[in-house]
Amino acid sequence: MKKTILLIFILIILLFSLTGCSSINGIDNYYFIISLGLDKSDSGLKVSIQIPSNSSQDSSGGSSTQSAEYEIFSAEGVSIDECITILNNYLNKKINLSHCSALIISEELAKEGIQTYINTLSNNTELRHSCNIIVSNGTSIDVLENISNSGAVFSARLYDYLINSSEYTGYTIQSSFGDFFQALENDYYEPTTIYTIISDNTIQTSGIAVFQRDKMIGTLDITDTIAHLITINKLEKSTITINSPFTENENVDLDIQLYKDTDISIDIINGSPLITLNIYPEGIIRSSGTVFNYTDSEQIKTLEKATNTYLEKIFKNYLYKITKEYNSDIVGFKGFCQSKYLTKKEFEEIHWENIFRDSYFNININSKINSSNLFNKQ
Amino acid sequence: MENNYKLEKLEFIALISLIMINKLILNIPYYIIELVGSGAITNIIYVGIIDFIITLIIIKMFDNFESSDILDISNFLGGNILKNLIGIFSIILFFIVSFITLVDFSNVLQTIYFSDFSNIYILIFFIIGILCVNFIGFKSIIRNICFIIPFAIISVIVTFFAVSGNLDVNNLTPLLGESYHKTFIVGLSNTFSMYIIVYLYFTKPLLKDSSSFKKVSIISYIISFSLLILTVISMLTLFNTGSSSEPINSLFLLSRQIELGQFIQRVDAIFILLWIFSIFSYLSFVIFLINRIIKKITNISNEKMLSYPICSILFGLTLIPVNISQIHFIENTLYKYLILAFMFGVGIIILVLANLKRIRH
Repeated sequence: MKKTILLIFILIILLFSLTGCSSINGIDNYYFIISLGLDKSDSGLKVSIQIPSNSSQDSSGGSSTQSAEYEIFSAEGVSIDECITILNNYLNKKINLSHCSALIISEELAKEGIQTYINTLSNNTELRHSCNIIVSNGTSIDVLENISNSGAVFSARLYDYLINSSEYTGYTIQSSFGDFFQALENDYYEPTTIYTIISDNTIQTSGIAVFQRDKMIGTLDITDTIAHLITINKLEKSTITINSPFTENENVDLDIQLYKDTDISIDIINGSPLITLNIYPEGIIRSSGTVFNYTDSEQIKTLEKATNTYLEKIFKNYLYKITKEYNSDIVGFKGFCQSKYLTKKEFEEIHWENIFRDSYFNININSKINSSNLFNKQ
Repeated sequence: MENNYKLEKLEFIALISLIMINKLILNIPYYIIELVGSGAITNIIYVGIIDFIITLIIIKMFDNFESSDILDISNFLGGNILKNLIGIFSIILFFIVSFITLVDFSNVLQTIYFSDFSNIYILIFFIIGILCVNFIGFKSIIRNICFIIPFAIISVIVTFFAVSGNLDVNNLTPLLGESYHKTFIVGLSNTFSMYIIVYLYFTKPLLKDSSSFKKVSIISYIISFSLLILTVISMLTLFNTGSSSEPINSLFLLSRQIELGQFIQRVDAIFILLWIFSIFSYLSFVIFLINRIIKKITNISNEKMLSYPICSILFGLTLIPVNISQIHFIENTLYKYLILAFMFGVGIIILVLANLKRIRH
């Protein structure tokens, strides 16, 4: 009897395994978008999505831009969720953000503040924190349309070339959604993102978009970006060109990297922060004009001095820009300063927010020059 | 399997560590940071020392009572009346523990992965599992725990090392947080974070070799404290005093940041699976403990059948619609102060008085 009951029980269980679930959501029910664009519009917000092209699209409602590999759809509304719902309705498939590799925000929108949108997306469990966040000088839809001109194969890695270039050029930073969210949640440094420009129908990185809390307040150009990366110890490699100290009208190209992490210290002197940076760049000579003797230590010293002078100039420019012009602590100097205090109450007495703009600097560059050329004398 | 199964030393350590891990999963580190800000590290060390001293005192006072828990000691001190009172208090406490854990975690699960499904399915999944495992016996609960605990500990350690790249010492400063008062006086309520102490009042009789109670309790405490401090440090990289957001599950949010190169991403999916097992094992143990307490105060012979009504009541309670603010109130006020009252109030008073009585006799 027991065996019969057990058998019936097992058979009933097996019966369910032979059925399908009517309400199951398979990958056919989703559109996995590659990038999400946010623009300002008359209604408030315009959300654009880039998805792999599919011939079975409806042609009613919304707007779409056709391409060989992908399609772009846009919807206007007051919030991201509303726009996505409109797009869901139009596309007849649910939009899924789990493969979204880039969040493109137009400069116009970024300047108005993006906290609401970041909050909305941070609540979306589909969106990866590694999704890149990019601010564009034009509209985001222009970025989506022109990104294919980069020559990259359409995939979730379509935007990688924008981000990865920071590793060997130092002309921009790596900015993920997670990093941006973390910077917004922290009160001791300000968020930054990759800044791109649309030029000749291609998308190019052009430094960093600087934020003050959730509002974009300006940009840093490529030399400032190199200085920024050196300050935060994130510089992998970059190439700088300095005037040759030996021959007029000639230049020396140096590959720059750090042989030691940058030291930052902050002292409050007469109510103003004195920011001291000790920087340790190593320059590898790539080209040095017509005449140069790498075996001559005096010449090397002269070149090191010239490098120091050049870097000091770009650092001063960078630090003045972020303090005096933007008043945005994107490095996290506040953190270095508050680490000297035992309690927040004591730190608050110096009113960092008010005195940061009055910062002055002591920059010590300790360059080392090496050669990687095939000839020691030329 | 019999419910009189006795724990080996490692099993006991695994059990206590699992209890701690469940609190880490359910946002305790975030509440610590929320209260004392960047002073969390100092505060945790401070309350950790206080809790450790309390633990040593409790262990010392248990020395005079071989293989006894707080109920046996209450019985010795005040007879059946005191035993029943402490038993009822403990049952209420553990019911709140299991209710909060189940409601909170099922809510997290639904939000993260099962937004299209009703919460009732998640609750049923847990309740049926708890019922089955309790019906099989204590040994199966412990085997579950021993199986899951290495992975659960690894998940916490991996989270710490994965986010350590973003770890900035400046984020942990000022070391004393907002003010001395907030870190050392207001922050005293964070002693609740080492709430594993509550379980020490009940677990001595479960240990095979009760003479090793002191040793295993201290080891469990050190492991639990290490896990707590690792998680708090990890969380300080994400949330500091300036943060105004309160996550439903901060450990999940941290695990979402984990990327092991380009190859391994979305580790949070694995972690959630581990945490489901972990919560499930923990709840099974709490229900076992409730059964055991009821058995002791009612003198029934077999507590296994109690699992049916206990699980049914728990299921019924979790179906009561409560909103986030109500859960928050129960978790942060009612539950917190009940735990503190038991850990440092009722429990210690009974132990002190029972020890005095024993000395007199």
